[in-house]
Amino acid sequence: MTLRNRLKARLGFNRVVSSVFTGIVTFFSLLMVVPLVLILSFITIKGVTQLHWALFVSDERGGGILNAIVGSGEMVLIAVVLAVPVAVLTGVYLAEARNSKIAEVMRITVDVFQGIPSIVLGIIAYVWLVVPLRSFSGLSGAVALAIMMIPIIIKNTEESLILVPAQMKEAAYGLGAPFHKVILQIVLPAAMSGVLTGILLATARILGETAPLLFTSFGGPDLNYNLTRPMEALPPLIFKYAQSPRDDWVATAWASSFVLVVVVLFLNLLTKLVLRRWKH
Amino acid sequence: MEALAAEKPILDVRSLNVVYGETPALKEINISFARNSLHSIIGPSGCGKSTFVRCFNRMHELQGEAKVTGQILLDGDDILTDDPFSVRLRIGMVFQRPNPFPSLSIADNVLSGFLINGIRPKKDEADAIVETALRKASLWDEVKDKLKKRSMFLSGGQQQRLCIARALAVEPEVLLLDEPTSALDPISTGSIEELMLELKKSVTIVLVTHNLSQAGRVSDYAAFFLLGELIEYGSGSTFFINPKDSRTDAYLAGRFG
Repeated sequence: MTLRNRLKARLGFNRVVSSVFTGIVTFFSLLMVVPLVLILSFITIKGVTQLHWALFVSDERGGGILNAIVGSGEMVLIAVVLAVPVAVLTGVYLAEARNSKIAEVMRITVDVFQGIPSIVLGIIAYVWLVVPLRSFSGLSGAVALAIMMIPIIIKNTEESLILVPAQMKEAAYGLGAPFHKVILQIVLPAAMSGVLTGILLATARILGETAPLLFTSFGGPDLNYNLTRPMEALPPLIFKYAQSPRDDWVATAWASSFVLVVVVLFLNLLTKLVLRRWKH
Repeated sequence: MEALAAEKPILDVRSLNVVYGETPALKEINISFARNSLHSIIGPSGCGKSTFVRCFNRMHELQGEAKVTGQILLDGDDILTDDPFSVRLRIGMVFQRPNPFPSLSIADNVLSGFLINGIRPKKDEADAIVETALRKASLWDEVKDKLKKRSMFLSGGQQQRLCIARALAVEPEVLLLDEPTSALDPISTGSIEELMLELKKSVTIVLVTHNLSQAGRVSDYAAFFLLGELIEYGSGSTFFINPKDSRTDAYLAGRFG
């Protein structure tokens, strides 16, 4: 048989293997959705029934989570404000200084950073802030969360900036534009969807963190807006209430879990929306 | 066009329509291509040239954006309903930018049509295929001593000829060339043009080009597309010297496009 005929004869077999392969790929993708759907529906069923208005407006022990919502909100906000400028600018540096030795070392550092367990970051924030200030505080919690966000945002920023075509930069430099104008007016806007995605993903990530807050914001039963004092947050609150022997406190833990999941999902959907908006 | 239809065409396109979402890209194309000759497709950017040739080896369904209707008969078989894998064996394609597989040697690149389908030719068979295909692509003399080396260090023109050899190795009946010289320098372009003139003796070539003088030099037949419509199709000698349609005339004269 000539080779070309062998090739033709092979097509039928290839087609079968190809459909089997497509089937396997599809099957595992669907399979991976199953636990997600199960977890979400479980939390929704358990949590939705426990929702009530007092939950959101009171800090009554076991029955209201206003203190945790305020604490999470403030600490995450401060963490974003602290992390974003540092991380985005570092990302710019890594993307622009592609071949420098320093950037190479920094890239490795950032990777290692990302792998540090969050509880260790909590201890670091404890040593840096809680010990010198002699008090647990929302601020130290925010710093621990910010440290967690930084490597995620750096990576995302760097990767989306690299994708900006070099021709675009050359066009700007070709008009005599200085470095800061090229970065701020051409490169960053072109990569904005990727940078924003990184920020939103990092925010969603720290919203659910418990460990970095254990030795930093510590938690407290009462509503508190003051960042220099101990603060409650949603994840540690769930951690405490879920272990409680009282059924109504456990119910509050479920309700809080549901609230937390909804907020995180919302941020993820927002990320998708931002990506789509910027593309068109 | 009646004169062309008289001989038995290898490709017969019947009311071909392509739509991207809502936007029509090709409208009611009817054209037939004679065997073992070179047909060039010309027209301004966005006229549907590339969309047209990409219908022939079913590239549109890889993107899933375009909707293709109508018939394209290759020796009587409708390639739009046939199995896409066998269609692509019969109709080879060379793309705008040379795209040899960077991780394969020159010889394996030529053989990749077989290797990638799970056929591993014996040593002597493989050597024969590589030599024949590279000779057909006029690349043999330049690379015969470095067949085991990677294709990366070849020049752009050599890489493009390697891609042509790769397409020829599986002995297609039709070869689609989508602006094959637009990324190449004039000398490489010249060698590819000579190659096309040689190849068209044994394989039907459909060439998309922006380069009107190139189309004039190599075409047996030429087709002019504008805004998704086939405006004119005729034998190269009359098409370029004495076009029938005033729009073709204006385009050839450089008054637009």
